[in-house]
Amino acid sequence: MSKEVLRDIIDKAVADYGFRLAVMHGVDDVIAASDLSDSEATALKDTVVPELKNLPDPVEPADRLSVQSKLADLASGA
Amino acid sequence: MKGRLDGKVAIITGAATGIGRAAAMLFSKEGAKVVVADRNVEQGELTASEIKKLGGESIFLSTDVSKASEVKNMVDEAVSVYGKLDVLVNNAGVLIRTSRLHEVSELEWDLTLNTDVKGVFLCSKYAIPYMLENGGSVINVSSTSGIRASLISSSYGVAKAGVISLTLTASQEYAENGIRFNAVVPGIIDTPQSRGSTGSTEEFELRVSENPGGRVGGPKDVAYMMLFLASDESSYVSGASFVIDGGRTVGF
Repeated sequence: MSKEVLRDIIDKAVADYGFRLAVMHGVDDVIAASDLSDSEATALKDTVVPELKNLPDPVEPADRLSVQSKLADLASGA
Repeated sequence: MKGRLDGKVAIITGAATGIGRAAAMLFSKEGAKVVVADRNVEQGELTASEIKKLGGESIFLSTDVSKASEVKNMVDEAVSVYGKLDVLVNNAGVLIRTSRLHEVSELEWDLTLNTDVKGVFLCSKYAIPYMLENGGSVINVSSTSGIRASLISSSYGVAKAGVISLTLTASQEYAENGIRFNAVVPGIIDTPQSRGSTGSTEEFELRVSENPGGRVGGPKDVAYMMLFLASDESSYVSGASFVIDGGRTVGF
């Protein structure tokens, strides 16, 4: 279940600049409100957030899926 | 040359980028001492640093406007450094695109409302006590999404409508203290948030093309209205909302 939650957060953060800002600058609030395991929370905070800072604004629709998959793979340690 | 804000101290939230940054630069150019507040430490420090490079006075304070303790510290620190507070610009906000209402997540709703409305409440709550004796100007940033149906985010529309409501009520509550409350209501403005929230460059350009005149406003277009509202030139203006959208909204 929480794997899906983490993926949803990643997908939304890539596709939506406002949500991305909320994750980048308020990740603890996002974690507190989400059903993530400790390891997933750590992955979001330590692995995903630094990557979000490097994304273009906006991530164009044609690039979105590949960026989302790349971040999801990073978060899962793949 | 005399500046329009000479001697004034202003806090501007969300001043790291976009409209807030433009206001910070303009207010400083017009003589204000500017407190740059934002969650974005890197960009916020850059704004304050640039003001100082240009000969102005500014400090950066890392602040999440949805957290009471951080807001209280921001206001107290601003007054501790500059001795008073004349102007508060409640600009910090976030636009999170949402699906239809029944598909909006509680997280999306809370993140938006906590920053966009609770943040305005908290900043006002802690700033007002420093303005009770000598008056001041509070400028709240709403959006045209708050005065018509919001097509991309119900939570954002509700938040920005709430900002106007709060502005109206506060203008009545503090008139006797000489504290003026006004709202600016931007339409499409070329900012990172605006570009990002439309989802694609193509969609952003399409929305801009629908504007009367086919042009998009820049952050300075909003900052100049804020400058007027912050200055004594607007001493008889309170409880008002100013749409800055190139005429788009009245054309709907």
